[in-house]
Amino acid sequence: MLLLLLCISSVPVLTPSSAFAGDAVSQAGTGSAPAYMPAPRLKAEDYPKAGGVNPRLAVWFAAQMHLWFAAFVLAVPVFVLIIECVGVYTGDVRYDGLAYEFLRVSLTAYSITALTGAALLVSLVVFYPAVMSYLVSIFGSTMLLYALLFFVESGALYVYYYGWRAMTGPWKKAHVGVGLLLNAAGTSLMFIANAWVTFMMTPAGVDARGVFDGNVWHAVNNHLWNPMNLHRFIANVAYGGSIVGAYAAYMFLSSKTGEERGHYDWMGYTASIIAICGLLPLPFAGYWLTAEIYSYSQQMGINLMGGVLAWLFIIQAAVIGALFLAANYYLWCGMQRGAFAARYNGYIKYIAFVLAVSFMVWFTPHTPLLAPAEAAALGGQFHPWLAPLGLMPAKNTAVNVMIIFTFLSFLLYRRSNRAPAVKWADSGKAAQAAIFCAAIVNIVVAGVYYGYFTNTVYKVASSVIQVASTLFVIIACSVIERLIHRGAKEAGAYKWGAMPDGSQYALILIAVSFTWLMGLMGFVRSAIRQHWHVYSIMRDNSPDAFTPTVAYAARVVSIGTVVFLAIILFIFWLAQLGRRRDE
Amino acid sequence: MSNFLRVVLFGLVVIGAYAAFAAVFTPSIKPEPPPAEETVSVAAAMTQEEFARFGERLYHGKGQCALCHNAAGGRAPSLDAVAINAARRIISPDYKGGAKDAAAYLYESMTAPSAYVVPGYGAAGTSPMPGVRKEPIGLNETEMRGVIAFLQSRAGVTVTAAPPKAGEQ
Ligand code: HEC
Repeated sequence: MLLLLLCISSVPVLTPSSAFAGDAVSQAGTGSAPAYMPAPRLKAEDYPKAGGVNPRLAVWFAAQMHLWFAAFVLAVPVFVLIIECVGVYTGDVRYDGLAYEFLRVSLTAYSITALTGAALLVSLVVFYPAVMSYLVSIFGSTMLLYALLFFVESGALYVYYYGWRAMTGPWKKAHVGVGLLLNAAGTSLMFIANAWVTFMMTPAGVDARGVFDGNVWHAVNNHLWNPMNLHRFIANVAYGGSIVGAYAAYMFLSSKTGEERGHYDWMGYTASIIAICGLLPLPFAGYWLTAEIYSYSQQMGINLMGGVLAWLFIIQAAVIGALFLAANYYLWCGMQRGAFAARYNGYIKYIAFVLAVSFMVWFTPHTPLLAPAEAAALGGQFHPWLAPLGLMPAKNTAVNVMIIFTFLSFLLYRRSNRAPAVKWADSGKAAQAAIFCAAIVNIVVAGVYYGYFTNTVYKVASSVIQVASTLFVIIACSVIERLIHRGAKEAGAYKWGAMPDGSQYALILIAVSFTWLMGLMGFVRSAIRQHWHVYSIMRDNSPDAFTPTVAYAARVVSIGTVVFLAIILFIFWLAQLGRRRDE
Repeated sequence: MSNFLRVVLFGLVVIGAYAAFAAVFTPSIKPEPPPAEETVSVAAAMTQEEFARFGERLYHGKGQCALCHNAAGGRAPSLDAVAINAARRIISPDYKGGAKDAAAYLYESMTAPSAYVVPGYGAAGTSPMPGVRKEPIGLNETEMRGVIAFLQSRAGVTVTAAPPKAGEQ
């Protein structure tokens, strides 16, 4: 392990930069020349060949694996800390046990993350040495910080884990503090790595000729850095919840006793709530990221959303649709745990209908490829009424409606076991209904108006109104919900474990889809750089500079997902062994 | 079947379904290869028509113009008649740029797009269009002249952008 740490921390700093430092020094020797060189113009011969291995594929695979594991080891401590705090707050020891159980899992994953990180680094240095030297020349100091934080994170993780049993009572607060430190270090690590990749997409701190002008902070704080930080952080929270949920689902399915089923049902529920809480704001973070891409370069934005890659978003829509449907299905099944479930069963079919319609709108492609004869029959490349369904406002409308109805499912779920206790409960509910309706009308009207009656340039504006409406529903209705249930007694214990097996497959579907989707979106993020290592500054002149087809990318991602999930299964199995030994 | 196998199988089916969806339902368009980096060095003198065709290839290829300037997207004005409109642009009262004739306006639109922003396509002073002399597009002087020749011949006006002589870059 220590060896690995060393190699992570030292290789990027020493190897490539020493090759580059020579240039810088000879430059400096000539007088007051700038410390930074323009990005080198590479030729095909500058890319080392390693017989038989496709360099891009090797780096892609290593990067993808590292990213998944890193997401996992960042996500699980976030999850664990949240659960630990809930445990402290509620005094329910089950939460503490759950948090501890999961930290063990992330311990093994942690070393594998370091391993895949080393693999990524080696493949980059071997196959793209010039790119690495260039990046090190700019980001060298942040790489040192990265190594440092890695030690902090490792230390905090060990203290957090091994101190769990010892640091109780008055020490519990300190233990939570260590958890906080662990997460702060982990998240900072991610932010630093984000700076490198976003610099490659939207370089900043460079002059008009593309020569870096020496301010590391500019390079770090580039156009996409913050949108990416937010997006990845939220996605990690959701991802951590989904993986834990899948684990619980598997354990639920293999449980022998009712008590076990109850435990894992509860675990799956807790995890899935965290996953859903992450999932709901994720589209908004995605919009911000996309909007920033457009504002940095319209050309890059069009490459992202139009043309060949547009199809990728159809696939994304399918996967996210599946995620939403699975999450709703899980909530509906969960209602059966409560005493009042029967009251709400009738509504499910309407919610399902709305979700299905929204899903179809979301799914309508903007650029269906039509044969010329088909286009003529339709009177143009786009159907006059259906075409707007393929545009952003319609998709925004659909996704906002889906989010609102998912939230409705969640409210019904919460009510399946509680009856309001205050006198004005009926007016409260009426207010909630009014807020729902007003928001939906608002969202649909904005969508139709911007979709059919404005210019392309203004269409994005619809999202602001819609997002505001959706957020308002979620916040206002949650507050009312809390108030009308103040002092409400639960109508009896939840019937934990009283879930059909199908609901557990919904949890597994969420985790698998999430993993796959992360891979696919990682591809598109990287693909919009096109034939540039660093967009518009350092051109990729390797034989692999071309953009592969979406189907090819999907195949690579699928194989990666299988390998990754197989390793995760193995880790779970190890953790189980460990737990048995403990018992 | 044991639970373990069932769960593994389920996972594989889900992944397989997504991969199949991507393979079957998306058209297998091969993205265009990266544009050639080396600028075309003109070996022999070109005729005026050849030069306009050279510009047309750049317009659709390396220049990336058609990416934004197309009827379907609606993100940028049509350039079908821009060589004619240009003469009107430079005499309009809100024109603050430095072009004195239509060809110069086209040149300015490419190298300093923010000098004049067509109303409805962005705030005055900040055009969403990138300067095409800069990377990532990176057209050189000859290439930009070729694009102007193409725009002029497309609009049916006299082509003033002269083709390069033999051996010129
Ligand atoms: C990233 C999208 C984009 C690309 C690529 C692009 N343009 Fe533009 N272009 C625009 C937008 C948006 C406008 C309108 C705003 C303005 O006037 O600056 C515009 C305006 C123009 C105008 C002025 C039109 C008028 O009616 O006055 C000309 C001329 C022009 N572009 C030529 C080109 C050429 C030639 C290329 C390729 C070498 C090109 N553009 C590439 C987005 C683009």
